[in-house]
Amino acid sequence: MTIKFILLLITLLALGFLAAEMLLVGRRLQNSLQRVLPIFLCLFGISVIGGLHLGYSKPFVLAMFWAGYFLTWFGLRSHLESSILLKMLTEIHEKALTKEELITTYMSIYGPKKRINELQVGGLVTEKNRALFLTDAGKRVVRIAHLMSKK
Amino acid sequence: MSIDDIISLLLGILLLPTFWCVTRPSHFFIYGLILSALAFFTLYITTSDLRLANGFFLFFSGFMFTTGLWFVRVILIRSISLNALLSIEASEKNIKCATADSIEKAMQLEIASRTDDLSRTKIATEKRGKYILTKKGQRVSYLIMWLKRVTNSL
Repeated sequence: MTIKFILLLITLLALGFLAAEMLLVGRRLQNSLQRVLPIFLCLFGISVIGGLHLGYSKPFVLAMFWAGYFLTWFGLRSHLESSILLKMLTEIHEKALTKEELITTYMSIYGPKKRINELQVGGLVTEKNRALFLTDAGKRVVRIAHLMSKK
Repeated sequence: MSIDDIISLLLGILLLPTFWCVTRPSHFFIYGLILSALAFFTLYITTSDLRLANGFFLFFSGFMFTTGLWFVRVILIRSISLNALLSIEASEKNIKCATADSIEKAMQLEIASRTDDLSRTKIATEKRGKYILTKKGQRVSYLIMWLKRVTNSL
């Protein structure tokens, strides 16, 4: 592994982060994953090609590196965006709250109505006469979740 | 295929089944760290060319992969929106309709139960009926606000 290749990787990491964040401006992560994923795939391709020229032709190591980077970024971003505990934490940081006040404040910021609305905006759920149904995209997400969950 | 590739492939093969089998996310994280360290030492012992740099990169890749999968495991367990989707699917399978009201109620209960995590994780304590941040909570809170500022400023 050469210094040139390390610099290339650092540049690609920064580029990936910036490009993904720019794409997410004004959007929720759960509704924009299909836009972000190609960026990381492209950067993986560039690093493999760059590696061939700079003496690091190890695609499986790079695949693990980029998969790890993408999943870590996704996990962190998702937690920052939707984690209940982190939202409650920042609320308490501003002022001490009772349990009831905390729950009421949280519900007004990111309560169930807003979450269901986001699932609808994201095309995962539709509503008919107050009944909720999964769309094809929603069914795909559920299938992936089942696949990844413990049997 | 280089020795690095073979070791990383083995690392991936050993990590993925554990992702399904391990019941606690923290156990998976520790297991991933141990496997990544083993990968580093294996590469360090078996190669002679740039073994420290290559070994460290392999360890770092394994560590990031483990961290990423750990986040996914946590999301699968705790995401309220994902659980709502699963509830809707379960209702559809039972030929029942999940109403928005019932899903909202389930979400409300789950959100209310999360206040217990504040004390359990020692990021906040209850004093005179009000939650206040501990030192650990203050540090986490500053980090979160800084990260939010960074992502929002882009």
